[in-house]
Amino acid sequence: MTGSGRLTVLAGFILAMLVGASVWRVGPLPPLGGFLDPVRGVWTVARQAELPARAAAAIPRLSQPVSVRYDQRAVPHIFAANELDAVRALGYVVARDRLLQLELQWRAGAGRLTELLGPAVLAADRESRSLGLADAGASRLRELPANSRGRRLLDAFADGVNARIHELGPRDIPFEYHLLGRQPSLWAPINSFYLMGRMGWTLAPSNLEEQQRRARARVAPAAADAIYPVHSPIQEPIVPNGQHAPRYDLLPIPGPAIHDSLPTPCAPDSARLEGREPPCATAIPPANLGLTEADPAVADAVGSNNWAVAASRTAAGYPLLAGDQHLDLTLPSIWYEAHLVVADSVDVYGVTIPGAPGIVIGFNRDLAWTFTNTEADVQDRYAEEVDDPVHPAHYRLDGVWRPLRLEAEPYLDPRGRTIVVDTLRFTHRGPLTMDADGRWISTRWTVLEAGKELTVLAGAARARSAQAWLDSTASYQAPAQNMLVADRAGTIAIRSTGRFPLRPVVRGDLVQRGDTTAADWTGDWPLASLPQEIDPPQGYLASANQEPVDPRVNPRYLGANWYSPWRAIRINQLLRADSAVTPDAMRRYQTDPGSPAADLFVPAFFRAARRYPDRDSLQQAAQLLAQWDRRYTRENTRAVLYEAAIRRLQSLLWDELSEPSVDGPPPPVTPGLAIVAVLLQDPANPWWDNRGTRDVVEDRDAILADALVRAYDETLRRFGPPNGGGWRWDRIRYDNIYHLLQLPALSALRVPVQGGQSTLNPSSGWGTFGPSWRMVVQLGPQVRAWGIYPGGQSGNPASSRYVDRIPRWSNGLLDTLFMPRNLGQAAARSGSDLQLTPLR
Amino acid sequence: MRRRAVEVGLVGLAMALGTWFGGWWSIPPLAAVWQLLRKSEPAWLAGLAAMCAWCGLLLMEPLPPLVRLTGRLSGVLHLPPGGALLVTLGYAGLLAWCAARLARAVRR
Repeated sequence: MTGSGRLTVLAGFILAMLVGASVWRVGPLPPLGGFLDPVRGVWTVARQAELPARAAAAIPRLSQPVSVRYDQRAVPHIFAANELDAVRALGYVVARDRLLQLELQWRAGAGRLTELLGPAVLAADRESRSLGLADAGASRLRELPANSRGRRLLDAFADGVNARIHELGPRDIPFEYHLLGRQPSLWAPINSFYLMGRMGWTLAPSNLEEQQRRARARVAPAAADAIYPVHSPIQEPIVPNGQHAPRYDLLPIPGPAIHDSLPTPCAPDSARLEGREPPCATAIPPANLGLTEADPAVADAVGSNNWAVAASRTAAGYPLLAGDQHLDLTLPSIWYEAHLVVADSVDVYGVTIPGAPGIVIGFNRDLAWTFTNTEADVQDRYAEEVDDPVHPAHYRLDGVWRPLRLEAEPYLDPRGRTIVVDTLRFTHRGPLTMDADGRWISTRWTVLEAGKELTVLAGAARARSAQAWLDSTASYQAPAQNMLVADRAGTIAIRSTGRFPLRPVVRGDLVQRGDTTAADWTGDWPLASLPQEIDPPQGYLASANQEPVDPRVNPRYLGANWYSPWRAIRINQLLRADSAVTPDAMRRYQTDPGSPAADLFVPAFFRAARRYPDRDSLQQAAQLLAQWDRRYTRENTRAVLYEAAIRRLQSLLWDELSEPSVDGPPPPVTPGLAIVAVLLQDPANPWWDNRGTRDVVEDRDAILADALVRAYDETLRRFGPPNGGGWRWDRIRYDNIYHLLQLPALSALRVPVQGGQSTLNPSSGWGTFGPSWRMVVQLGPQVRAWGIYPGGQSGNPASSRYVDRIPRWSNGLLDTLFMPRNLGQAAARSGSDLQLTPLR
Repeated sequence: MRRRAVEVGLVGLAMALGTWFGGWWSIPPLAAVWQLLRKSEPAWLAGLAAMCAWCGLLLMEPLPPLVRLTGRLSGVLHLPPGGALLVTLGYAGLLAWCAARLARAVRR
């Protein structure tokens, strides 16, 4: 064959390959022809990236035309004749900007991600369905009367979303759908329930029963109870208790009731600390407790903050409210900013979660509100007796075998083929699943029985006073939230709102017997008993996921293993010290770098170091630590040593919990730092003893000194010399805001932020969790507000509004929020107009 | 030379219109037809025409978003910056060249 002939054969081969790859999927790639086509493919995403100066669309069942004006921050201001039309318009604009997010979120809640993304996400779908989220969503919709306000709101939102989907041509498909080679699916009213269910799961506290089980497999029950206590040992509650400082309830913590037993060739720590023996590398398993940076214990202090200041304590004499929800950081953001205006009834600005038919957090002309998660125990587990250990069909209750409700759950791939079919089982309490020990456990969870929340929030947005707002939200059930509200009349109020079960047992964090109805919930906390406060004498209110009520005021079980209250302590410190708070101070407080935990633990490390003056590396480490101002500013170069020391301290202290167990459950999560703070006051507590050192009993200072030395060694090894630049905080801790599909190229990674463990701007281990919507509202004659979230209004990666807010968010700054009173004001600052008309 | 450039431009225009009204698949037949008509021209000119056609179509998009999209898409596809654009143009060019090359062989 000639050279020309070979070239022709090669051309034929390449053409065949290209045509094949253009028509069929190759691996994860969509068919290349349609994908790269500049007229219909992925490149058309550039055309949709920016909002056009003018646009129009038709929505079915719209009763009157709706005008939407986008301001310079791409926030839609929706002017509608009635509430349902406003919600239809909201559905349309959300779909316009966040279509993929809408679909991913409902599918995550429904356990139907495989239908879009394939079998790789089967585990996530199985989790959602086994939790009962999909089943609960279907039940909620069935229970909603067709003409109820809630149903009409859901239908209206679906009208708007689907109007957008119907008008999509090949040149309007969002970027990710091109990548996936799929088409958007239509929105159903039930999807809003799926979304709320998934949100409930995100906000569900850790599995307390499982934690106790794991702990009790290793240490005595009394010890397990004490390190995962029902009440926080440091009290700075949400409901002011009349004290002007945190109270330390230093109850003795029983030892683990196990003793040094591991044979080890290592020298005792004391010998090593004195320099007579080399360090023992194997005494503590290097990865014990799973103390990666993502360990829940490290993230113990991660969570949301809110506070409100009465007019008497603000510089301008107007109430102030600050909200700061800490959630998964994603691109696009979990939040979408919008302003809904309906003449004489609704004028509300704030953020919605794409899929919710209204504003979730925000303000109107008279009041502002925000939430933090209550972290109450609203999920109980029951060990059921079943008729078959593998395929049960009945469970015993009060001596009678009752049938389980069985549901076949098929999981489909994107082409509609069945991947697998699971059988879900339900008792009268909720979903039944097998645990790691082979026990059948049913779960009762308030989230699965809730359903009015979206309607409640839509109603609350119309309230004109804090009291009316509290009345509107009284029937809100789940997920339970610390709801903070302030109004222009000067009222500030907070209530831990939700359904909190009453139990026949004292503690709800242990698995209950399932064979008797006597173990079931006996009712709910009455509204009047919920943790709440209105206009406290101290002139401010604050919450940060801490235990809501001082147990000396109300000892009733509400939950266990509460977050260590460092953030609550810090907020209270700042607000107690400031009697003329300004909006800018509120903003600064949101990223305050101070750490009450560091204020407590750093002196303890110094005390331990003084006990071993001859240990050179210990003294060097202590000297470096002394150079730290205990503030997690970006440029500081010593917080890294403290953080490493705290991690090492937890690793050494909780070694009894971390031991691998041959047949038993995996280790429990590490107890919170508040428990360590209690143990600091008990230097000889058996928990301090290191099980890895036979015949030696370490005390507090020995372990603190050892932790600091190990931390120093580790920090030197990982980050170089102390003054070499490698210890700079923002080179070590940063936020990673991943795209919803976890694609790094669509993500914002290594975003520097101020803050660290136990600060008001806490950073999680992987930086994927953080402040998702910061807001400050001043409730004067004219409401003024500032806010920001990480990301941008557009979900289109080619848009200038995709990540435009991240630089200001990263620097702790807020945008001024524009809340026009009428169409004329909105038009004056409008960057884009959208006219929505009824579809005839 | 000038005549050839004009011809390539016209073929490119035909391919752009073909893509606009038909789709990506219009590129190979147009390249093949042109080669059958102009058997003396090298096949790579068909590739060049296709690349020009798609480049022109891409430039109809607003530039700043197009630049951002190129960066993002290149990252997603694990290509260097600008790689997605080159792959797209290369894809069109290769489709056309292969089809023209085959047409040339058929003509013989």
